[in-house]
Amino acid sequence: MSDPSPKIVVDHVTKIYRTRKRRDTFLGRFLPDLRPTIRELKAVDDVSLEITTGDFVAIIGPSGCGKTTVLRMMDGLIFPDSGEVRVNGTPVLGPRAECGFIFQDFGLYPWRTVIDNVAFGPELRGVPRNVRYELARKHIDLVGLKGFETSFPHQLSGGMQQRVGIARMLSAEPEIMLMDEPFGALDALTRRTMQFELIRILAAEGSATSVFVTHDLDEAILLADKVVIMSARPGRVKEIVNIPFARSERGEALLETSMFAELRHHLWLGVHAEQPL
Amino acid sequence: MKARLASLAVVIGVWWWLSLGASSLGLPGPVQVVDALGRLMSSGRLMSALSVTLGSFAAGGTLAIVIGVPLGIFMGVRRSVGLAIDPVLTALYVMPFSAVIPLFVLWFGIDEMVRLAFIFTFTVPQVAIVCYQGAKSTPTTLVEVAKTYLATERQIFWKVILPYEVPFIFTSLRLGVGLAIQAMVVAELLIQSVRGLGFLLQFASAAFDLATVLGVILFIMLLGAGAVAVMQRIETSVAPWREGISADGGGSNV
Repeated sequence: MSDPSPKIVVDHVTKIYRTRKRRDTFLGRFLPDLRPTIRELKAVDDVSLEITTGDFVAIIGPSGCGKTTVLRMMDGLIFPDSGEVRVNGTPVLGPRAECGFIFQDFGLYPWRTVIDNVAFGPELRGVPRNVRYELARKHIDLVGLKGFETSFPHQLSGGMQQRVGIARMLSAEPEIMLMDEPFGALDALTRRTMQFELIRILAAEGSATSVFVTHDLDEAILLADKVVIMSARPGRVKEIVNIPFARSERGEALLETSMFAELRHHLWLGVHAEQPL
Repeated sequence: MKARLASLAVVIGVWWWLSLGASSLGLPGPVQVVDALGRLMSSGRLMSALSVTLGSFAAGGTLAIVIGVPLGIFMGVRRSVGLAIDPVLTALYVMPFSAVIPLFVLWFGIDEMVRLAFIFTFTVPQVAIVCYQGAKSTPTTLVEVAKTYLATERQIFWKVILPYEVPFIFTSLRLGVGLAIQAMVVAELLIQSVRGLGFLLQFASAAFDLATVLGVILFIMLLGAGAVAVMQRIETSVAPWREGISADGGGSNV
């Protein structure tokens, strides 16, 4: 951590979702919305966070607490109603090259082969085909999909599809990796495998800054250096827990230690108190 | 394939069984119909009628596709345009075919132009609506992925919306072919200015030649089914990933 300046700053951010709701009257069901009622939903309330270069941060919290909202604001996919998100010192006004994003439902293009999915970022930047394919191949190998370059996403299992998603993000060479429940759509066994795989892949890639959202307490402890616990809606930062394990310690054996169990219990109490019925 | 052959055999079997008890004026059997069709072919009347009919069919159908596909996509990309035009297309779509023929004759006369206009008017709504649905239903995640990689509006259109749209375009073409065939026959039946397939139908039914009537209908059905099958072939070779889309229900089951 040569550079201690904050990479990502979330500065007193509040986000309100507004949904138009058809008036709930007999006629309202048949008439077009003449006077729509607007429902306001405060998803995130005055959240502040600082993420330092090289940090690996997990955000956990009950369903609907706005953890994904915070992550999407970091990537510039949505914008706060008040407050500001800054990356590398400048306000986030839209998606930017420093950030890569992993989607829970993979977001692969079904009409593109694995290699064309992985090379998507460089392709948009106009990188010539052979150069971007070389880059893509490197990352396809890294995520363990050698031999599947010309397969289509629907021919792959869920775990393999998210490997493609990871390779695609890496091919864009981001400084910051944002992951929205990256393994949330996978079965428990595949998820565990992918967690160890992600540790291996990120170790091979060198230390980027990562932020991920998860429901899985084990995943948070296994991967992150810091776990941010958010309260129930409207989401606030409730607690930040440091995870004292070194990178090299993170493996199968860690799951059995009493320290791990204690941390998990601690996180569980933190999240459970917030979980609505 | 087996199931298809079996269902075909059942249909033909039932037809044959029904025709046993009926006179040739009631329901001609499969053999008589195929026989009549054979005679139409060997006399050359079928082929000359077909060439007349296919002319306006191809012109009207092509025009409907050339205008309907981009229109539908545009409607899907620009939501306000979509909302504005959608009701008009729906209205056209539910308009009864034959009821408006007199109007069309008034406006377009009884020549080539009226058939072209007729086929176009009845095919374009279906084609545009399907393409509209496709462009509208582009999954948000796929667009967001592109945004994450800093895609421009233009790149999002060419690399996300349009490829996602491909299966919908093919579906619209398949449905369009069916509608264009129907419109074409209706136009020829009701505006008898040319000796096309519709004329053959009209002529044969005036002579109570039911075998020929059924033969021509059978021929039109085979023609349509053949066109649809060709379209499906092209689709699977152009969009082999489509399988995957429809497998998880996101496809064009419109």
